Amino acid sequence: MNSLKTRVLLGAALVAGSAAAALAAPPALYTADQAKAGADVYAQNCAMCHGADLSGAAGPALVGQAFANAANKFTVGPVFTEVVQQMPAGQPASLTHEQYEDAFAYILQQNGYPAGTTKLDYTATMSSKVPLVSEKP
Amino acid sequence: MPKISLQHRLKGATAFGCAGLALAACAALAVPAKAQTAAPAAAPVAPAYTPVSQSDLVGASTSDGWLMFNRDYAGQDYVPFDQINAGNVSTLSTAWTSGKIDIPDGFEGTPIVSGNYMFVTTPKDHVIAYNAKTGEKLWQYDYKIAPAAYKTLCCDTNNRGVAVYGSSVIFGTLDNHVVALDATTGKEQWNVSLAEPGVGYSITEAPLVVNGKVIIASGGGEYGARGFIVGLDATNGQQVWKTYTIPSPDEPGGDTWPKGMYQTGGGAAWMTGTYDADTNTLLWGVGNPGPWLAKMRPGKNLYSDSLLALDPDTGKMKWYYQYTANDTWDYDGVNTPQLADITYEGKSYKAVIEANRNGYFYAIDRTDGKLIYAKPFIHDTSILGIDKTGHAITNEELKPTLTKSIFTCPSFLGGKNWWPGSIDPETNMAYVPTLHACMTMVGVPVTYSAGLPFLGEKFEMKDDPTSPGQYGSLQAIDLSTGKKVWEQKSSYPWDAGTLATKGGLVFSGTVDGYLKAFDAKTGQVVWTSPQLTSGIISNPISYQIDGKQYVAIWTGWGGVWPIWAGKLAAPEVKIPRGGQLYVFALPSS
Ligand code: HEC
Repeated sequence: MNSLKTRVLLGAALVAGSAAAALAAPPALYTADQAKAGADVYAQNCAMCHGADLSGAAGPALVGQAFANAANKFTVGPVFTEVVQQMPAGQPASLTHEQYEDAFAYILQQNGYPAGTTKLDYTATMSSKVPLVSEKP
Repeated sequence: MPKISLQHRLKGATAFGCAGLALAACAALAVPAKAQTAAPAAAPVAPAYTPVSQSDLVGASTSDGWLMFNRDYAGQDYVPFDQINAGNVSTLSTAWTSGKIDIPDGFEGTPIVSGNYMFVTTPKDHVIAYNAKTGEKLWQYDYKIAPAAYKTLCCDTNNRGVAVYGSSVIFGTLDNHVVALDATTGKEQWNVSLAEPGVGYSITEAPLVVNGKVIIASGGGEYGARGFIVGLDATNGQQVWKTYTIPSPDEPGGDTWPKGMYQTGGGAAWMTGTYDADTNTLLWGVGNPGPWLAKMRPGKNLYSDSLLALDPDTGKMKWYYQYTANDTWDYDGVNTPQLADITYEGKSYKAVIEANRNGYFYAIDRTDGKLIYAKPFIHDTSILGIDKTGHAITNEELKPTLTKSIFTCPSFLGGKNWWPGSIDPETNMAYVPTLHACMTMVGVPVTYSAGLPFLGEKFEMKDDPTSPGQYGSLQAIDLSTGKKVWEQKSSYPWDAGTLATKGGLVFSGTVDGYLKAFDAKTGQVVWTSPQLTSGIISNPISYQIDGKQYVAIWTGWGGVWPIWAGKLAAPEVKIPRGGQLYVFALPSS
């Protein structure tokens, strides 16, 4: 009885632990090809305001804790929506959906999100509730 | 492409302020030609400093210095000096300069001159004291901005200047602190925080000191930050009063908002106000409501886009005047409310004058907040006229929805943006830096998320079809009629403040880096400086020391236009970045 109880508790703890670990690892939200193309989109349309290394200039930093930390409680949806609605500042919606997908894939990659096999999709990403917390300092 | 990677925002914040690049640059260069020959290690000899009293501030209009943001409580940006005049302005030459300061952002500061001291601010909240006569650098203070603050800056890292009171130099910061420094040493006297950085608020305006209280407010209207104005005890920074610009449901005006929306209602009072000493009334403008898309917040949305008359000792409201009700076009009401005694249709008024973002030039009775007149000063399709109650009639047809895109004039940057204009009591004219542009705008879905823009609109600046390719002008407007007397047009936006002088001159700067003097009566250009190091987006000032008149201006291109004007800003992409303060005077005979 005693040992069974212990084992059940231990099992529950293990399950809870692995669930937490799964949550903590950032999910794959884009493909490596998208991020690669996104580096160019970023360099040509965003870097002049957000810095070649994303660390900010006339526009805010797009990398690290200054961009997205746990306290901000950002999710991917509103930030992606901000990009497609307003960016590049002064010339909103001037890029193609694909360019926005790629640029955002690049920003996710720079913030420590891994590439995967499913493409980042414009419409779906606008309402994404995945937490946006940078893995970078 | 603007060269803005040198000292980008984060480095400026994490490194010790301008300690990296700018401090070195300032230390090496920010001395006048004469002082450079002195032994480099010699500490500057601080001139004596006379503390500034409330009566000095009340008398600022006759002072030899420039004691507050708009020179005097009336906010006229007019000096009673005539040593420099139409007859000799052509010989104006550089008395001293700060040397180039390597911060690639917009220099929007107005220098403050008290006795022999000049106190200036740079982008990213550095404060420098110079000997106003010789240009010798006396001290520099590098404020350390919390990195989170950079998240919520819509329009560059500017700081528009300090206030002086007693022996203190007082300024606000991008991360919402208010700091007092010792005028002679630059040592911190007190430092208080008004709000957390990174959730929406940021301070860019210069404080105004009235009756021993430091009056200051923050920006944040693009992030749904609920605006407020505070009065702090000038001796220790302790808050004496705080007045929200957007009322809660149980306060007067609270019923002009849909339930709960006041909390994210914007209304940032982000420009320095003025003060009527005769009636002890503070006049302070309030910015746009949040989110931008008006269809999300039916109602007048008081006190957004309004002028507030407050008691400076308690923050209690005496009256208000709303320029644009239920605004959806970003027509902030924050341009300087300038006090002037005027005559209109045979009657005399104690007026407050404001050239509004919505494109109308307002004269309001400053004793009761009633409209005297309002006349359009640009091509305006958003405002159709003035109704019987004395308020703007907004064009409901040109309000965007989620499915309706509109084209209207002026653009979201307004017929005039923040640059202080001036009022000349001798010519009875107001000199107004003017923008000529229109915009497209359409609603987009938005939900509030602290730290992200809260707009609900997509917008893009376009040429004004009545003046394509002409984005700026400097206008003179007759205070007795509200009508234009002269206008100097420019293909560039008119992006700088104006200074009027008793010498019959109006000074203003251009985006391509020239300081110019205009004949106050005719608008004719009577002097153009050599091309300065960068574009001008600041306000010129003038002061006198030992009987000599000086004119000072910051160069340093940046600010809102290159970020938000999109394709219209293409011609300015090559303008060099970096700041430099220039001080001009007549050559010594
Ligand atoms: C002309 C300058 C400019 C350009 C070009 C520009 N941005 Fe921005 N960006 C800004 C400014 C200024 C903000 C601040 C938000 C505001 O007030 O709307 C911003 C905000 C953002 C934000 C929100 C960040 C936050 O922490 O709130 C993201 C994400 C972003 N930009 C991505 C991009 C991408 C991707 C591009 C290129 C496709 C781009 N920007 C191009 C100026 C620019």
